[in-house]
Parts: sequence; structure tokens; C-alpha cells
Amino acid sequence: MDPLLQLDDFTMHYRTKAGWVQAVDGVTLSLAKGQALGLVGESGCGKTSIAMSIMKLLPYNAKVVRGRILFEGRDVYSMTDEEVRRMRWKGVAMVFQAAMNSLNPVYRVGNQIVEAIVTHEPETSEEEAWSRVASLFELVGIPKERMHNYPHEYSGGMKQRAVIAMALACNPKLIIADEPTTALDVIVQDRILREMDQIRRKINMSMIYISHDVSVIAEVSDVVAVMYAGKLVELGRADDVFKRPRHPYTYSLMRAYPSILGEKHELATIPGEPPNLLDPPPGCRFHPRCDRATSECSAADPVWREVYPGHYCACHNPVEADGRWSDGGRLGKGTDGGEELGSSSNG
Amino acid sequence: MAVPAMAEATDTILRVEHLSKHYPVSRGLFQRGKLFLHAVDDVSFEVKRREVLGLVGESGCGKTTTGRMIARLTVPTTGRIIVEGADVSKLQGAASSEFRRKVQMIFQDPYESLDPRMTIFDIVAEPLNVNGVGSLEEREERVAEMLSLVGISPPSAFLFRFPHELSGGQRQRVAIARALVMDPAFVVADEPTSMLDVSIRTGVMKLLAQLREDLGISYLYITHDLAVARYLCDRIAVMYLGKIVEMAGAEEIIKEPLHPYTKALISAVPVPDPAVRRPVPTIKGGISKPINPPRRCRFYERCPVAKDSCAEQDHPALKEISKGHFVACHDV
Repeated sequence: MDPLLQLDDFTMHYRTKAGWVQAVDGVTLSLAKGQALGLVGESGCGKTSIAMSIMKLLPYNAKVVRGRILFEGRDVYSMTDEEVRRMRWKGVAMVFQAAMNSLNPVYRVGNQIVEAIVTHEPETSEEEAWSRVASLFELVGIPKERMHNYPHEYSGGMKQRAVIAMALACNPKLIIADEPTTALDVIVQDRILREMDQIRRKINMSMIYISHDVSVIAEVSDVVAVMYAGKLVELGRADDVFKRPRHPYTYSLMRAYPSILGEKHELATIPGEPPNLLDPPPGCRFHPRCDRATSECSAADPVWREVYPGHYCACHNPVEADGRWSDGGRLGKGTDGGEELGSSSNG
Repeated sequence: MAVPAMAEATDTILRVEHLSKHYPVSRGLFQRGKLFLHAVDDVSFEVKRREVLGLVGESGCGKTTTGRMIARLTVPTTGRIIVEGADVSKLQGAASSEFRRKVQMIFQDPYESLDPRMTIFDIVAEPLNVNGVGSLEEREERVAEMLSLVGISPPSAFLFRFPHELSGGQRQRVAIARALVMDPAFVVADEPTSMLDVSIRTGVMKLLAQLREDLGISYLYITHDLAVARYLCDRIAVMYLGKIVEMAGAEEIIKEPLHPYTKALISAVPVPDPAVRRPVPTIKGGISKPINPPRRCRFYERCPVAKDSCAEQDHPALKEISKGHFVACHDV
């Protein structure tokens, strides 16, 4: 089956006064119909830039340097404006990070959704649109009387639900959710995650879920993609990536997250800070912070290769598949951090 | 018998007794003062020397207000705050500045809490200047010492830089250095890591834990994240709408929560393991604002196990169920 969305060596840079920011570099991934992809990484790693690239919502100083984005087999960057307009909402819809601010404060919430529906589906009457809004509200768990309210009459969680309802209004094939629950309390976040999951399964929609939070990604994704400094470093089924992370960055990231389950384990620290993308380090962008780095890592770009069926990783020196940090002495004795991590993951 | 009691008394660095903060809510221009938002309502707890108490709850539960009252940034409506045996509200003159030295605060957002026009040296040295501590040379030495303590090294490379030249993690380390420069005994840390990225956050968490070991500082650690609290705190107090509903050892409260709100809160925390299916939290409705709240249990409307009798009784007091485990629920 053809994938719904495909990124092929996609590379996008921003022009700034200080030079070119290499925000997204050589990203290759594909998404099947009905699949949920979790895109995880720290701030500034290029997650949102990828989302904006798919939506073709890039600012004027962005430049696609290489590669393509194919939606249903068609190159997004060779579409006409009219085709892009049709793709947005009906093909791909996006839930933005600050949902609180993405509703217009002077229009009733229902009106805003009706407007989106009739604009994108001129054949739909306003009456039909209103009844669709009512059923969407039911779907996301807002009482339907509330569609005549203004955004300020909603709580944060309700605004977020309304924005999700809006994204679903034109039955998109793919929804991109960019940190939709980051500003919300855990109990509200939990409800929204559960609802989004149910809706997605009910209408067999694909989803790209963007978050910095490894735990949230674990809960919503079939497939996980890990980004670091503009590059995709690891991609695979959620179980594989979480149980057997192969890239040292993924490995440390998973162990840097505290959990309320299980025994307390020592939290991993990653020394240093993410690089400046104006001038990223040569070779593997993670090598200055990596305990496993060798001279090869600073010399050559690691190749994106399949380390296990459906599990890809870009690393010269991946972590062993059984989760052992050490690779039989080739790297010599690991640092303290490394050994500690190795022993705790074996338990 | 008197000796152990004495020892225990000096061991307690902070005692909060029946602390409340009620904010007047305006109902239009001329009707101020009829309604009160009970941000913090009759809260009592103790923090021992070298102890980290976590104050956990959702936004609007009063955890930050509690912290600000302890740091004397907000004046309590009623109640007492006792630091090392002295009632904070009665302090004046020299004793008051002594208190301000002893209790410091670290704020959530290192992008907002550092003055963009001051150099790192000026920021960290400001408490020394204000309190007139040491000569210029001594201050320089002290600032450099603090910066290397929090992992900003070499300090000389940072002293005359401005906050915008630093990353988020470095800024938060500077904010921590500023809080520690007066050698405080107690630090109120208000979500100090929630704005930071994971790979940086662990470093700051470990730094805070290390500073407690090395300098014997006690913390009130305010956070919305139970998983973070579990790692950093000895004990955790859970707040709901201005009240502490449960307080116990960190592991105990996470493994064996007793209050229905704590249970719901814990089951709502996502876990970094795709194989785990969490139970659905059994909690109804959404959070409201405690504006002139009824006398009954604050959690009544959302409680999955509420009984009719809960509506008739006052908000339950904190009861000690087992050693050190306090719960405020009629049903426990």
C-alpha cells in the first residue's frame, strides 16, 4: 500500500542575519494510513519545522534545500496554491501548540468551525455544517450547547478540545498535533489523549503527534521518530524504540525521564547542550555529547540504516540490541554514567 | 523526656500553621470585597532540616501562593510561618533581613527571572550588595565560587556576559546561584525545571539534590509533575483547591495513595512505556475556582466515592492514618 505521507531526504534551512540555520536535515520517513507517528525531541530540534513544512506554512526566510514531501503521492512543493488550499483541512489538519490563542476571541466557537467547513466544502449548507459541529463537539466531549459560547467562556482544556474538533471538521486524512496538551494539567491531558486515540481509531485517521515528552509519545504512538538537532536519529515501532533504543541519544533520553512506575532508577544526564544549528558539529551532530563517540563520529555523517526490520537508526556505534550499553570492550570501559545505565537496564 | 522533644524542635526548620490566603474577587467596579478566592486555606505542615518537601497539584491549587507566602513575597491572610523557631510575620529590622538571607526562592522561568540588562556578576552579586555583605573583592570571590558550584565554569568566562547569551539551563543555574549566594538554610523552588528540556533538566535536578547533600539546604519543591517530585523529594504533599489532601513519604504516596484525588492524579500521569495501559482515572468534571467555597469537602463534586454524608460534614481534617501518612478524607 502506498504511504499517505512520505518525506524523502527532506532538508529545510532558515536564512537569518547570522547565517543559515540548518533546522531540518535529510529527514526520511513515511506514514501509512491509520498510523500514529510520535515525533519526539527537545526544543529547537526541528519537530515543529517539519510540521510546518508538511502544511506548507513556512515563513518567508525558509528554504527547502533538498528532498521532497509527498502527500498521497504528490509533491507538496510543486502543488499550486489552490491545490495546497484543498490539501489543508481536508487532507492534513493541524492542531497548533498554543490552542488557547488559535481561536478568534470575537467569534463564537461554533461559528469559527462552521466557517472552516463551508469554506472548504462549498457544497455543504450552513445547516449541515452546524449539525456536524454538534456531532464533533460530542466526539471531543464538549456539551453541544457550548458551541454558541465565545472562547473566553471556555476553560483551557475545552479550548483545546474545540481546536481538535475544528481540525477534525473536514474529515482530514492526517492530523498533525503539535504539543496539544503541553499547557494542560495531567488529568485534562489524560482525557484528551484518550479521546484523540479513540477518535483516530474510529475514523481510521493518521496522526503525527509532536511532543518533547517521552511518556506522552509512548502512550499515543504506533511508530516513534526521534529527532536531534535537525536530524532524525532513530525511527521504529514504539515497542522497539522504547524497549531497545539503539541510538545513544534515544537511550539516554528514555532514561532521563522520571517515571512514577516501577523502581526508582538513576536518571541519565546528557552532558553539554544541544548545538547551535547555524554551525552544527561535523559528522554526527550528537557526537560532542555522546559517551560512545569515537573519531569516526566526528569525521563522517552516520548512515541511516535498518538495524532491525522496520527499526532505523543513524549511528556509527549503536547501543546493543539487548540494551547493553557496552559493546564487548571495543569502546573500552564506559564512563561511570554508562556503566550505571547499563546495569540498571539489565535488571 | 524533654530532651528528645528539644532535639526534634530544633530539627524542624520550617513550620507552617493554619496558613490561609484569601484574595478579594471583584464583582464590578464598586462591589469589591464581597467574594473571596480561597487560594490557600488552612494549610499546616513542617519541613525538617535537610529535607525536601514536594508540594504537588494542578494549576490553581495554591501551591505557588503557599511558596510565595513562605518566602514573604505575599502576605498571608491568617496563619503563622515559623522559621527556625521565629514567627516570620513578627520579624522587624535586623531580624527581618536575617530572615531574608535564610529563605530564598528560585522561580519557574529563567527567561523572566533574570534582568536582561544586568551582567551575570551583577545578578548573582545583587543579594550581597543589598545586604551589604563583604567588600567588592570578597563579593567577586563569592560570586565566582557560587557559579562554579552550580556548574557554570569557568566562572570568569561568564561573569560579564548577559542573560541572553546563556541557554535556558545555564540561566536556571545562574538563578540557583543567586538564590544560594546568601547561604540560605531554606529554599522555595517553584517549578525550577519545568521550563527546561529533558537533557538539561536532569542536570538541574541532580544539582539541587547535590546542593542539599553538600550544604544541608532544605527545600520546598513546588511542581505539577509527580514523577519529578518522586525523584527529588523525601515527602510529598498533594494540594487540591487550597487544601492539602494527602501528605506522606514520596514512595509511599506514589505506591499507596489513599485520597481519591491523589489516586486520580497518579493514574493520569503518562508513563514512558508503550506496553503499559493505565487505568482510566475515576474523577468527574473539571477543576473550579474556590470562590467562597462551601464548608464541605473541597473534592466533593468530583469525587468518585463521595457519599451523602460528605456533603453534610465540614472539609475533613488531615488525619494520620499510619506513621507519617496524612489524609483528609471522610472515607479513609
